[in-house]
Parts: sequence; C-alpha cells; structure tokens
Amino acid sequence: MKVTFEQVDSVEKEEATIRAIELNKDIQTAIDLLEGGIGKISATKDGKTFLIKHGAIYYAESVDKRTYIYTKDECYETKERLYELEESLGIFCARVSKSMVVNLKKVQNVTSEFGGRMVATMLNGEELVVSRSYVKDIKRRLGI
Amino acid sequence: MKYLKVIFLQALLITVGITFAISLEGLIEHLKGEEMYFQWYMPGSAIVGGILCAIPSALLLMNVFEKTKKQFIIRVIIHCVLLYVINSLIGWLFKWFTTWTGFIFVSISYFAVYVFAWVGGFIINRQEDKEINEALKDIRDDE
Repeated sequence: MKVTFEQVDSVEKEEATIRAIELNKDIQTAIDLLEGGIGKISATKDGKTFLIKHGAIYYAESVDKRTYIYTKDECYETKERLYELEESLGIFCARVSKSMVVNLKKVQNVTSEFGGRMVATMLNGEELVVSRSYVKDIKRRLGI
Repeated sequence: MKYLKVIFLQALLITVGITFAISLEGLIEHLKGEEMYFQWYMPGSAIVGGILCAIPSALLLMNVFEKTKKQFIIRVIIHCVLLYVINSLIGWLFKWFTTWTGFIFVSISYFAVYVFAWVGGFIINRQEDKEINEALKDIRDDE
C-alpha cells in the first residue's frame, strides 16, 4: 500500500485517511493504533495484575490520589495518573470532569438535563456526569 | 481571574437585558401615546444594575451544573429572588418605574427574561447534544 505523510502545524489538523478495498485485520490494527486503542495498561484487582487493552477501557477515575479503570463489567486500579491515561488512550479519550476521563467510543449517547447538566450514557448502561467546561474539548475531539 | 471573567460577561449580558427591558417600556409608552423621557443617569444605572446582579450570579451559579439536583434548584431559586430584589431596588432608586403599573411591568419583564435565559440555554444544549450524538455514531465500538 502506498503511504503518504503530510506535515501539519496543529493537532486539530491531524487526520489519517486509509483507502482500501476492504476493512481487514491489518487495516483495523492500523486504525486502532492511530486512535490509541491498541496499547495495554497494567492494572490490579484483588491482588492480581492484569494487562487491560486500551480499547476495553470505558472510563477512568481518580479518587483520593488513586486511579481506577473501568471496563464493561470490571474495575481495576492502576499506578498511572489520569493525565497519563488521557495522553496514552488517544484522541477519543476525553476528560469529562476534573477527576474523570471517558473513552468516547464507549459512549451510547449524551443528554442535557434542564439545568444544563450533561449526562453520558455508556454502552454498558452506566451514566456519567459531563462537566460543561469540557464539552468544547469533547466536540474538538469528535471533529465538530 | 475565572470569577472576574464570569462577572464581566454576566455584567455585560445583564446590562443588555436591562437596557432592552427599559427600551421596551419606552416603546410601549410611546405606542400608547404617552411620551417617556429618560434621565441622564439611565444608561449608567443599567450598567450598575448589571454589575450588582453579576456578582451573585458568579457566586451562586459558577459550576452549578456539577451540583446535585437539590443544590441546583436551591441555588437557582436564591439567585432568581436575589436578582429580583436587586433589580427592584435599583429600579426604584434610579426611577426605572414611578408607578405600581411600571413596577409590575419591570417585574414581569424580569421573570420573562429569567425564564427565557434558562429555556434558551436548554434549547442550545439540546442542539449541542444532537451534534455530539451524531459524531459519536461514527466512532462507537460494537459491543
């Protein structure tokens, strides 16, 4: 496959387009890599250590200086800081409050309540509160 | 700095709102055939009103969306009543109204603008939700 690299001057302009006959495993891997979903994070649960795929993470939360990772049904603790997770999880990992980052690929939908509070419903049905001050950044990440 | 920025923006918005209400009152009086003349201090009074109303707005409504539902409702009620009292006092002091009819008009205008601001905000937020939900469709994982 012919690969072209073009340098841009800002993060907002970063974009990758792949033209292919079909979406095969290799291309999916390349997409996951570019979107930051291919790496793994070391996390513990009940004294055991696990390697959690970036793509399995729903959201991460910081409570009392400890960081917790939530997947579809499980919760793990990790030594990584929230800002480190935010960086390593890629463009679709957005901060939604001071203490929480969310994997936007796992969001079913968002709804604003009358008071202005935004609630994100995850694919597993969990509801998370999105701080209004982070909505602008979420929109930027989604290319809106 | 964040508070100062919010106070400044709120003061601007409220000043525009007050000026709009006073102008509307003047227009209605004119259409009724009764001319209404404003004193030299009228524009300044709108600015004073804007600043005085902006301070409780910043203190009570800053990060209000992150509060619990109960806290949110209590803060909004206190905010609404406090601003109404400030508006009425400034209105009385600067003669935005001189009769009971004028006072009722200012009161109705105040509550109409207050409700409109919240409803308008809600409509804008819902539009934003639609945009975000459309964009989420394109990236959502299959579970």
